[in-house]
Amino acid sequence: MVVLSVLSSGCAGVFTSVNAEDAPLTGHSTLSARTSTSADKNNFINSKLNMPKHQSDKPEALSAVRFDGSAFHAGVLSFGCTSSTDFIIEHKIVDSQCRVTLVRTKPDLCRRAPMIAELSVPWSVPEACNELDLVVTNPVLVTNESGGLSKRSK
Amino acid sequence: MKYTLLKKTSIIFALCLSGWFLPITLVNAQVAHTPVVGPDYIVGGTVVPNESRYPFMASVTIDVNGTGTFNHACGGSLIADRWVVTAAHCLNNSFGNPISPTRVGVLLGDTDLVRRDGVFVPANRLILHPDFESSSLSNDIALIELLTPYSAPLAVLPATNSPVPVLEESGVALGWGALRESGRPSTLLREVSLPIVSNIDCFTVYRDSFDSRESFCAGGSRTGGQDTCQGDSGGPLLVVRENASVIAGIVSSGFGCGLSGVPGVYTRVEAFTDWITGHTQGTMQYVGQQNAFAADDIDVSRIPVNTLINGQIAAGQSAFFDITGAKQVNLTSNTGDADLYIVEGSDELVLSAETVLCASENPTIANPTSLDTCVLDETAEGLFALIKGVTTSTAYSLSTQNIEGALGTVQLYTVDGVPVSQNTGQRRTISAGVFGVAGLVSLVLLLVFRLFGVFALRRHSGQSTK
Repeated sequence: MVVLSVLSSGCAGVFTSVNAEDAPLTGHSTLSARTSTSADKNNFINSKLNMPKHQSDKPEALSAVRFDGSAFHAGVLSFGCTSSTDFIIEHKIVDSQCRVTLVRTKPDLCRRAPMIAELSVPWSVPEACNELDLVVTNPVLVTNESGGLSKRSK
Repeated sequence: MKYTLLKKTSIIFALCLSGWFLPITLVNAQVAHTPVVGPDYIVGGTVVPNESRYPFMASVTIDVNGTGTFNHACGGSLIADRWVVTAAHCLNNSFGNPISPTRVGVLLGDTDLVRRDGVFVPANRLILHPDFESSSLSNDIALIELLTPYSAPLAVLPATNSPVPVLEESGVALGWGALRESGRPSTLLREVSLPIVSNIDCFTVYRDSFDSRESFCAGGSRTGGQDTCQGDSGGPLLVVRENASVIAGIVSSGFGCGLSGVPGVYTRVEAFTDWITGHTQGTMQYVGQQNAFAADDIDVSRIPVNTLINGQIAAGQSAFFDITGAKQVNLTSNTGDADLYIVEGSDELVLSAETVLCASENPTIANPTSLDTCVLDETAEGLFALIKGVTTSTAYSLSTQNIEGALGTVQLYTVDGVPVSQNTGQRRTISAGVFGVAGLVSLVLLLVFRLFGVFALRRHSGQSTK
């Protein structure tokens, strides 16, 4: 586990990140906040065109994650067409943790050189998570020495 | 009755991302980067040998952090001594707002981003198209006014409504973009030849965002492997007219890079020439033969309501039918799989999210089905059914044959208000629409059709609102 940041006063508990593969969110139901169908559409397009799975199939790699009590703030890789509205937040309670994942619902199809886009995705802590630690399951986006970017699972 | 869809054109002319940032530091010119050399360059392209080959090619660089270090972000084209045209999404910051011009510079007269023998010219002003929308990528075009003029042979703009590009020709795309999806960039300028794709084929891939008035597709061969990629945005897709390099398109977007059957999307420059020249001076334009027709023409057969037809369509092919008056359209794929789209149109037929009233597509492998249905709530002046043969068939045993272009069978019903459960009307055989007819042939056909009173649809004409 890698501690990314400490929650603000608006939320109790330790704010951590775990490898998303350890806590897959697919298939959960009762606590999911997922509402968009864009990812499904992308999956459909991929199957239609025999394309490999798109970035939207995996949790987005994040940098500088912060939660201020009303929104998640994070940096993500952008090719020029990424905005906060392209993301939703899913959560799932596992082992007394409220595991949160930022999920991209719309792929960035632009062809600009990559940069970091700063997101601000509104989210309030569900009642079921009030007394639990918040854990972000997304992979970590790493900036290397030359300013380049890479994705790491942890 | 038979209809013909026409398009103006000429009959004469046809991350693991490490290393992405190749900084240009104004204070200290040192670059800590090792050039990347590998076998799979810019998705199937080749290295441009020297800067004199495309002297108008520009690297649009951005100082993201305000530290004075400018990194390659996009390509661009010098269209006047003070003006570079690029993609609008290249000039937005991480919050989706336009970047300050002080953070933008253009590298000209160079092909090697590491050696950097060219000239760096700071931007004076950025002009994004006022109707640019990053969510849909509509109007993805922008201008950079240079702080100082730069003298070099210019890229030529296509005049509004000029036949650029045309189907069945290839354009050359330029850029320093990634060599594969999420791959390393090229430090050397590269070029790749890409065939222009019909609007129908482009639409069926990008139907949520594609608008044939302002964009077109190129690439997407069955074998894949040739495409533009991340870092190529803003760069030109060139066609040759009278020995001049004319900017037909600007690299904009696309699913992945170099995927089989998936073309890239390019801003149709011809649709924005008036907007460009409204801001710039000293540009060059190719006019062409503006009142000619051809290449992208297709045949459209009239199907009366309450009619069943049987036809065959090959994988990847498309067919158009005039079904004006129908309330419901059912497409049954007896073998293989085809998709059904209903497009509204009249004298001009535009393929965009606004004009497509219904799209019935069914996943062919995960959820096989043989029926596509569109129920039409409104009566339009003209309604057209587009059938697109799907590359991969629902019939697993036929998938190989379909990849090779084997035929599947489709049935098209048109129903006046009441769904049909059996054949209720006239029955005849319809063949798949033929695309890519040569310009001269189409012109001859046009004349013949008009002699016999055939109604002609002219697509993509008379629009110059950009």
